[in-house]
Amino acid sequence: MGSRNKTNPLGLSLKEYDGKPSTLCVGCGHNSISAQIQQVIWELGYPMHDVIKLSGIGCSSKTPAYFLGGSHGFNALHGRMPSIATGAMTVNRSLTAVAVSGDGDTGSIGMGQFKHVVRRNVPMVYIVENNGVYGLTKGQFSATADVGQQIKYAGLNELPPIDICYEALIGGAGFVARSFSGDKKQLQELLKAALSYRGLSVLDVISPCVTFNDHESSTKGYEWGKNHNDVVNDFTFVPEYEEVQIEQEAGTVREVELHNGNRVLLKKIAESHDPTDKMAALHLIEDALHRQQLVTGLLYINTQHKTIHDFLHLPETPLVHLAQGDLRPGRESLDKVMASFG
Amino acid sequence: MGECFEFGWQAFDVAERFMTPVFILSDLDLGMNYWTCEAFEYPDQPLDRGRVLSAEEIQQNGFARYMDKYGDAVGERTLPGTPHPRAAYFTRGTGHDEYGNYTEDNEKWAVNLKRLERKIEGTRDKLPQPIVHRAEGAKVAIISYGSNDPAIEEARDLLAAQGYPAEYLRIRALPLSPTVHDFVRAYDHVYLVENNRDAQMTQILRMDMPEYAARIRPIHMCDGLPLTAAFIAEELLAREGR
Repeated sequence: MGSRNKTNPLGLSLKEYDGKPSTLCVGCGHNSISAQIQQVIWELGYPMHDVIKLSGIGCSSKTPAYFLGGSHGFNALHGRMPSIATGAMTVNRSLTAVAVSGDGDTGSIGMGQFKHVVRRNVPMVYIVENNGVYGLTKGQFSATADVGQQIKYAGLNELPPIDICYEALIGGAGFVARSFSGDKKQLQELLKAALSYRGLSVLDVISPCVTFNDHESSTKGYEWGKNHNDVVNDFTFVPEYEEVQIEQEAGTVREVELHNGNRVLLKKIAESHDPTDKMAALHLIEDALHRQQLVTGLLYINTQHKTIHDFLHLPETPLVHLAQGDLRPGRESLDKVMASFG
Repeated sequence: MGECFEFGWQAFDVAERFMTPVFILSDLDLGMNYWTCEAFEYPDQPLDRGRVLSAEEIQQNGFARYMDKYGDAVGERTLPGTPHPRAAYFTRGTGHDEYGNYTEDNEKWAVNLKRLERKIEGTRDKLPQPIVHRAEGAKVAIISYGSNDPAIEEARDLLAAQGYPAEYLRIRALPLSPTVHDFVRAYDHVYLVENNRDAQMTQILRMDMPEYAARIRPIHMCDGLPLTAAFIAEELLAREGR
């Protein structure tokens, strides 16, 4: 609550980054994620008008209305948010895109769009609020539900799950992380790094549905998350303007520099995981699935990936700010194309 | 073919001016075969972004995303990145008031739907207008659209050779232009030629001007191939008792 009285580098209070009051169930993990998004964007001093909020359809996709009231927001068609994000970030590369989707919106109807937005590496933070269940339609299993899960109305799930992080890695994502809505500190640090990452960052956040899927044996519930959370690295985001203070034993802390001078410090925990090793990340996910553990932390990072801005050879000036004469090829260009058919 | 190019850039202007999705219909026959055509014309209009407000304009006049402030039922909008605290709005699939705020108020819902109706009505004379081909001594009139055009032009030659010159209007956009209405009113009956099973454009036209529904007579077929001039001419003459 202390931060409510503080101001950020822009001189604004956290309250000024509020959205509308949430209409989700009390205790919903999504509300906690919204609060962390708001906290981090406020803390880092992003002007709200330079942030866009994007979502599809579902409980998760309602949440962009509940934070950053001063940012443009877009509720796309179900599973079609990536297309909107691609368009918005192509015409104005100076924006910061925060996208919120769900396990249904991304894992089922939007899977094709998800894979392609990852492949195109559209600079954006892509958060999947993952509860393994369709809440708005009253509790059917989603595609991320684990085998053997049982819920009151839908019965037993026998289908194997889709793993969002696995799909992101295979698709070529350069920043893949998993977190738990109950782990406020970890989520905040991951969000800060994701916002500084040049490219698409995928955050699969297990976010319990307190109404339909939060019983004792639910692998997307609070109890499970607390008791089976296998944190792979202690993760600290260091803004460009702060000195790095390392007090750990040499060799246990790894520093990864992001594109804008910000850095992340990764402290290895127990068995070491190298987050720059894609195969290790895939192995980690596969292994956790067999061990029925929730691995969280930064699973993979590659700061060398090209983005859609590189692929399209976009100028530094956002297209939206170019004059008409610079946007539309001249008459001679059309004449040349026409002449080539002659 | 030239129209495909022209409609391509015009569609963006229409979409931004009227803030509405635009669908362009083409024909696989055009897209998958080689055709000769005139060189495409360079756009004769600058890009039209529609009613986009700057931070200064918001400061002076405020901003109401879905309000009919200008009397043409078209709202105003802002772009992300506009540095003004009132610039942002949330594009949502649920009900909203004139400022874009969420609401379940049924009266506000109805006001917005009525505004959208007026907006779409207001586009009738601003979209690509129909092309009308006159014919001296015309006894019949034909309405059609799209890539039926060459077959109809050839059919008109066949009809003229048999003493049946035909006037012809080619529809180029929906909602229909007032010119289409005037064309129908000018004849006892018109033949609407189309390449589909259900005479879909006939149904649209009849809904648009129900008082003249009986005047609109469909000539249609769909066998997977383009219409032929012979089919059109023979059908029309048969209907005319020839």
